[in-house]
Amino acid sequence: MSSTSHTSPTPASMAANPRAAHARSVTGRILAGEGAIELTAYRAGETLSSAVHGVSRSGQLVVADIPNLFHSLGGFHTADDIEVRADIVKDSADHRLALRLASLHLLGTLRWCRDTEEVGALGLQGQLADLVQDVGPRVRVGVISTERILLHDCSGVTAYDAAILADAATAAPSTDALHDAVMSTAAETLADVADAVLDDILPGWTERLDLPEDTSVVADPAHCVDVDRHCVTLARFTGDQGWVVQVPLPSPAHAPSAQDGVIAWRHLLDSLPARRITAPRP
Amino acid sequence: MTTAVRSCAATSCSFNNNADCNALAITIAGAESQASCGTFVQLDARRPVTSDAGRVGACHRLECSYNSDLMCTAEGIEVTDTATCATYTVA
Ligand code: SF4
Repeated sequence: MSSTSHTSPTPASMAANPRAAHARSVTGRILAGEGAIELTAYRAGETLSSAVHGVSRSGQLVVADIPNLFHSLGGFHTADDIEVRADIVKDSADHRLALRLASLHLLGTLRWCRDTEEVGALGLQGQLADLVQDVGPRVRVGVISTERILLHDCSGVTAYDAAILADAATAAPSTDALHDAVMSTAAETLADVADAVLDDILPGWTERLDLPEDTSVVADPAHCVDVDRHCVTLARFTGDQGWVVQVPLPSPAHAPSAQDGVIAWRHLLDSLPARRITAPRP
Repeated sequence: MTTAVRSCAATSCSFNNNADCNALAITIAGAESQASCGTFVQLDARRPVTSDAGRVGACHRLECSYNSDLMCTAEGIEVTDTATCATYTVA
């Protein structure tokens, strides 16, 4: 897959290295609970794929599982520390496109909490807090200690030290409204946005996407595959060719609100040359 | 350094040609303690560490002795008929 950066014109308020800022943001979102985690106790040869994950307020990577409901914890049912590999995979936001967008990988040590007091001291938030509140003490909660976290995405492999867990513990502004705005944009308009980046009319980054011979996996000329407060990621298809196209959003100078992303997205659509608009904006 | 896929016995894979791997660069994924070839199925936006044909583009088996930040450092690997890496070793 080849990589191309399209840098002009650069949105004035983007960070000095917007691609690195975006990768860091995606890593934080995945650590905080996006994607699906699979734990592998590689010495025991056991895998646990039913857990949910997130980061506690104190910046610890936490997993939770409900054993004895649909399955047993198997080799993970132990009071001892367990050497694990954690893989968290994140797929396309548009579920009609079977595309793996990014994954996080780490080696660490899993230790299950002994009792509810220990769980309470973690300061759970998000889906972990909801699960513990809904299900109660039957939820098994564990902490994974790690020193190195690797993001594998369309720009390659990026390594982070454990300090990124503290970043992920801080709630980022919601992107739900932006997500809705991008997902409801017509595929033809998304294709116009992607083409504007490919033609250097809008700033952004593009990567070639290897397509299988069976191109029936592709439904539309363009799909939204991720929405981040820094950047919208699209997949663009023409005939037997495909690209992943990342379009940075100009960020506001003031503290971002939930609506700022939507406004930035609309400005971006308005900045497309008129001839490119091939479908009505929602 | 990039690692060659010396042989691949997953003949039902569409990238397989007479036990040779024709994919641009494969990704070794992981599931159920088997180092498996993740290029077998869906679209993948993750860029390989190398894009040379028939090479290990990335390997997610971090615990393998040959793994260095998702890059395989083995001289060459062999992929089995169930698309798993037969060279996988844990120290
Ligand atoms: S030898 Fe190890 S690092 Fe190399 S592809 Fe196989 S499992 Fe991955």
